[in-house]
Amino acid sequence: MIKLNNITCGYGKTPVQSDISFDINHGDVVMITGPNGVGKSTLLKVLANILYPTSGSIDYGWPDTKDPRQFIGYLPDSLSIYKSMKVKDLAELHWNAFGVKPDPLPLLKEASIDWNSRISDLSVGQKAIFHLSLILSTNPKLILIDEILHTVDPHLRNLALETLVKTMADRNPTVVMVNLNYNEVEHMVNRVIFLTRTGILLNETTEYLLENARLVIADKTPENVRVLATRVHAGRTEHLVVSKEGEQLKLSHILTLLMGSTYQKKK
Amino acid sequence: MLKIDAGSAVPVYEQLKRQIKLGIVSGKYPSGYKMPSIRQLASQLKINPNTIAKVYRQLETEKFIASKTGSGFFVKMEKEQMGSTRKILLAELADEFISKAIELGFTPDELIKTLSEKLERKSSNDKTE
Repeated sequence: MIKLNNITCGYGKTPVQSDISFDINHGDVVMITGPNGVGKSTLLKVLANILYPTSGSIDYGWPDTKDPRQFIGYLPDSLSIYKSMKVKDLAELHWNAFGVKPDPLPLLKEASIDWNSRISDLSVGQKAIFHLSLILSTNPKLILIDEILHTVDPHLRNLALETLVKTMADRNPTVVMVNLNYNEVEHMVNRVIFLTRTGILLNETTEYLLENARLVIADKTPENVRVLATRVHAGRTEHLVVSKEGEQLKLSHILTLLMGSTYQKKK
Repeated sequence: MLKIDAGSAVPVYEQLKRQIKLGIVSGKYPSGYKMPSIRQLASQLKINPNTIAKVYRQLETEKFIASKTGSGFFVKMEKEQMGSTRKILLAELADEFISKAIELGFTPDELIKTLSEKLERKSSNDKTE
């Protein structure tokens, strides 16, 4: 189990998130989502062990780990790979560093990435695909993916997700994704963490949400149930409640409702 | 070809399980048929591999398929079981039809009438073809 204990993180004086704690089971596929600016990418950097938290600690639960980063594959939201290098040189460097034999990397072929082109000549989407291929080739125990896959065209994104699922089936890594398109990944994830400015609003398995998160349309707030979100949409007041009654929703709808209500609350 | 109905409130593993059962009972997946591997099916449908594993495990306990170590899952269904399973699946379909129709406010008489009309039309169509 990966345990995050009382993490406070951010840049400069004001923390982005304060004192948050949660656990991730090894082999879980988690989506961290929530409105812009609440620190999802920051939290991912903390998980990647690239940004140290101001306070709090992470226990990855891997035995004999000097540097956890050797087991982590992180795809950041902005890609900082050596621009002047050629694709093949960087691939070789990466492979030498991780001791993993060169793979034909079918994703690269599909993305028409030339082995001899310079990194600086690749498009944003091609860079993201290249970076993902490198990460997956190193057998990470923890795969962290930020929103960057949105820059990849639908066909390649589909292929990237297929490759990710194959890796999941083969090696059962823990995967944490930030805010990917709900419809595309809703059947891949088994846990959702919804982050707001004031901390974690929701941390549940998708199974639990599909079973218990129900939509109730009513002017008054429903009583005696846990209300997760309320939003006014198309002239009706929608409440997302934890209940055995009400309309069952698919995951992407549940998350869209949560997202909408966080924005309406601000007003 | 197995498919997921994204708009459905039926859990993905239920959807898959039912489709595979229907496929087996209808003869689309005959006895001895090799089921797609977990890896293959998961990546094709972009589903968590554990979900597929769960479906296969349940189908194994319910004796629809059997696993051969190292080579995957194969359809394995006894003749005697086939008949009873077909009946169960038909009953499930009927339940679904009835509950949806009642939700729309139809009476049992209306359902029976519509069903028999439809069946009559179908059998006369089949004859003319």
